[in-house]
Amino acid sequence: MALEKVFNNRILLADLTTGKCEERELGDKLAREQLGGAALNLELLRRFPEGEPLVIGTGLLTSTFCPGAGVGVVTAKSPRSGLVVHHPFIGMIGIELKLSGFDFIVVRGRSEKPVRLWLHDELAEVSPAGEVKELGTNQVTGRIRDEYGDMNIHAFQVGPAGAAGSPLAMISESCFGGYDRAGLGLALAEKGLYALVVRGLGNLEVADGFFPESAKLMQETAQSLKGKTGIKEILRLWAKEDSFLPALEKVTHRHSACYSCPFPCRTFGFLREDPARKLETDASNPGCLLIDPQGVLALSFLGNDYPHVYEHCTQLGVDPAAVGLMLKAEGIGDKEAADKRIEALVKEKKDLINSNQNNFHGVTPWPDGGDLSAALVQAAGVFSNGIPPAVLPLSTPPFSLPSDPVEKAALVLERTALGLILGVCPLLLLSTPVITPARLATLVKLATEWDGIGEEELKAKAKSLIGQTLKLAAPREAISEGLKPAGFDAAWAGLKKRYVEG
Amino acid sequence: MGEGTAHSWTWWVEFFEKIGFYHQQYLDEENFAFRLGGVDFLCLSGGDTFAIAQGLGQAGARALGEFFSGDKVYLGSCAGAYLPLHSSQEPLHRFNFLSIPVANIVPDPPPGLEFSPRTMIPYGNRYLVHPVRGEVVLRPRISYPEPTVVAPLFGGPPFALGGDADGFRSRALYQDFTPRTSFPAGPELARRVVQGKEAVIEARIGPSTLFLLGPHLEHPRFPSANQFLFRLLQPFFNRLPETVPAGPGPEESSPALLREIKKELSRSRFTVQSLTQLSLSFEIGRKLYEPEKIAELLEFAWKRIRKFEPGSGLPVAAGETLRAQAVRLRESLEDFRTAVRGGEEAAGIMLKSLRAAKRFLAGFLPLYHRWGCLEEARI
Amino acid sequence: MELEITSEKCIACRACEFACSYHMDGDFSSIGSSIMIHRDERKDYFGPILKRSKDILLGRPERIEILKPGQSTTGGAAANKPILMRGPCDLCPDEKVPFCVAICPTGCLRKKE
Repeated sequence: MALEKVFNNRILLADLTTGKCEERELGDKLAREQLGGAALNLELLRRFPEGEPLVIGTGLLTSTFCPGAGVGVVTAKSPRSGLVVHHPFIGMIGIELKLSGFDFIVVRGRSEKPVRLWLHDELAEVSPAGEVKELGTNQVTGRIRDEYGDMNIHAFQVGPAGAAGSPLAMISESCFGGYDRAGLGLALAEKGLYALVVRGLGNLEVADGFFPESAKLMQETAQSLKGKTGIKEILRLWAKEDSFLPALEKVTHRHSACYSCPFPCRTFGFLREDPARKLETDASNPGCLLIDPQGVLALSFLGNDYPHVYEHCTQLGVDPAAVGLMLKAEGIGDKEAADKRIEALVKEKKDLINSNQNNFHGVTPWPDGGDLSAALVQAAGVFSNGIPPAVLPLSTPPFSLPSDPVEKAALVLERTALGLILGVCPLLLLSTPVITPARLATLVKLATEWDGIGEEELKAKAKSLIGQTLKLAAPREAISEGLKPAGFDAAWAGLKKRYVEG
Repeated sequence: MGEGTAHSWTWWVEFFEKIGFYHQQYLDEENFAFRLGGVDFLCLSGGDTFAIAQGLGQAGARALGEFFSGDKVYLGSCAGAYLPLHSSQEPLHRFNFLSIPVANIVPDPPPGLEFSPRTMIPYGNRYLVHPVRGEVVLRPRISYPEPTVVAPLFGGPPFALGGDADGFRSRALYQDFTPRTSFPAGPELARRVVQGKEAVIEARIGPSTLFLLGPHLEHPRFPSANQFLFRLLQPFFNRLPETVPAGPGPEESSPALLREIKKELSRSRFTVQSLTQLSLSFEIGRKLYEPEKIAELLEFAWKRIRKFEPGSGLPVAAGETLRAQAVRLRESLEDFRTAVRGGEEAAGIMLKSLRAAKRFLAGFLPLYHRWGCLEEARI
Repeated sequence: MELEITSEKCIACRACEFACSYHMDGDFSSIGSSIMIHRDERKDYFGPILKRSKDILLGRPERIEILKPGQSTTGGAAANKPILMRGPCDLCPDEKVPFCVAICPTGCLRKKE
């Protein structure tokens, strides 16, 4: 088995209580059994249960030429819902993590003082991180990059909201927020871990045939999503009306993508600079990268002000989706009032439950479309709700969708699960059917040379991940009645039967 | 590895590692004269021949003359091939050991060729030209199973011996080029100056044998060239002492020290990688210095420091010295970055960093060869 | 043949960097490539930089700029950027299509005969 083409064969056990780090071998057996990503994270949570662990891992294909293969996963118990959840981090952090020499990190214990875990060149250092309490995530990342002089250093981190102990705290990816709906930012802050900083100057071997197969898949995937650019493509699918899209168009500068992804779904809004400007701006901080469609949708009621408020949320490290719901319910209507109220919400340690907002176990729902399958996906609560709970009909050819809502929910859950095991962006997998389990299995087989690995095993592993995660906590019944469309109870029973009882 | 050399001396280190030979010393202008006597094989690779000669000085030239009077082997590639040739130019004239003409000294600057250390420099009242850069195809002139060998040429000489002569044997000719060859002034000049000329010459000075290599047969990415070189040197390998096998870790070793050195080296790597975003290239004397050479030296060290077994360490005294060298290297690179970003004069600091990198390697490699190197010979 | 860069099509995915490094060094890493993405994330200023045998091509969003080694660039606060400290592009002579072109999802990189 060719582990060296997919992993470094290294697990880090970081004990924040003692500040000591210990390495363990990943090993062929564990990798073969669990494959990688969220599935392997879950197994590590089981094997190392002491000290309220949180596991940060990379997918089997993370840091390969597979399209969208830049994903890492945090698996932990959500402070908001009490459920174990798998949260993806995308951008460039996943590849930098794997190329720093570490495949999985088990974080245990608690540091009395804020620290950061700095991973580079197979070295792990725990060092002080006190500046987070005052500085925004953008500034903290900028400081770290200046300190080491390298723009490719990435951090996933806790912002001032996490430092303040707010349940709204989210994990931020480098400068501009993320997809965390589970309050994992608070989970990290409670451990005293304010940032995971990574730089990947390492290397992995490449299997013969892997590159051409990946390049072919990349071109086919790009072709299927031709012309689709920017976060607006996702927003349009949920917006009941397009009235807020002009506010986005007004500030749109450029669109960019995560590692090796043909769908540039991240849009930079120039809020303090002319968006038409192509020359490098002199402004040190001209705006914000909008990457979180659920967050943008939740704040869209603020009209032209929403990009600014979204930016404020990302700098505080606060979940914009939860904040949006709460601000709307309170009748807040403009930027100044919103900014003040957000700061207060952080101090008051408010969340959706104690604000009496509709929620899925304390987690923000996507805008209600009455879609039963989307409700089922969110009710399962297995993956961060920042990932859309539905297929994104953006591609040509389109997905062929089952009519049965349970089957439809299963399609979404299982494609997301596959993405988080292999380290391939779930947003991409939900945007185009071109990246099939069979194509992914071909790449896995090329890279690992594992006997017998194929499409069926990958699908089974995805199902097993969902089932095992569902089983891990108390029944997931804490769902607001307002979020249960007609037929929900029967459909929910059907979904549970498929994964837990079946 | 002293003044004027770049990073290609590490290719000789790697070549000898591949044949399982780890008894290596790293000489610079400070220790060349008094250490040369204990050496059997002297390798001199690429760089600025003038600066190398300047650095070695009269004492170095004398030491080299004494070296040749013993039964020794000299391996000179690129700049190292030029050094022992007769020249009227100072300070090369101190090293006039062999009279072999080269084909790339021309009376007039060829059209289309720019003046730069990489392509053409004035040489007395003539011009030293390099019309080829990159891969070249050689025809071996010894009994060899392959009809051709591919090797890289980066400014080394095409000799104009015109066949075997007294005391000189042609061992390979420049036969052709490949799609990866670049011609700074077009292929016509390259064909005229290089094609058909001697690429490798074996010469004798007293009891010593000299191999003058125009292309870098020792380059680690050209295995066929390495094989050819091995074949050329095979008759001399009975002089090499028994390879010292890698043994158990040193007594009184410190894993913490090794870890500290790794950290410093890692920080140096970032600094160098961050410099890829900045404007860098310095012409100093006749040589173009590009800080990517420092990156090459760092990567060379990094590949090797990773090979120490987990939990192993370094002997404490030597490790402390090496750590200090690693810190100085990292600090000099950070100073370099600060100077470049601030628009200050950085050439001198860059040279300081290059020296610091070489010194680090000179201290590290013997420890690696003794304690960290577990590979079997590959040639 | 040469590589043509249409910098406004760049989406900063860095696939080209890793593909080039694979061609140069035979493994998956970013440090051996002749092409790299310059990106200032906070300013949203990004584009490809290509080191060629005789010069450096900067795929700035506003224009293509060609620099000789040692030459400084002009314009804006980015004046002290950027020149590549790597080996030059060899246009992948053993391949039908250069690796970076093969993997670029937007057509930002194309080969021009």
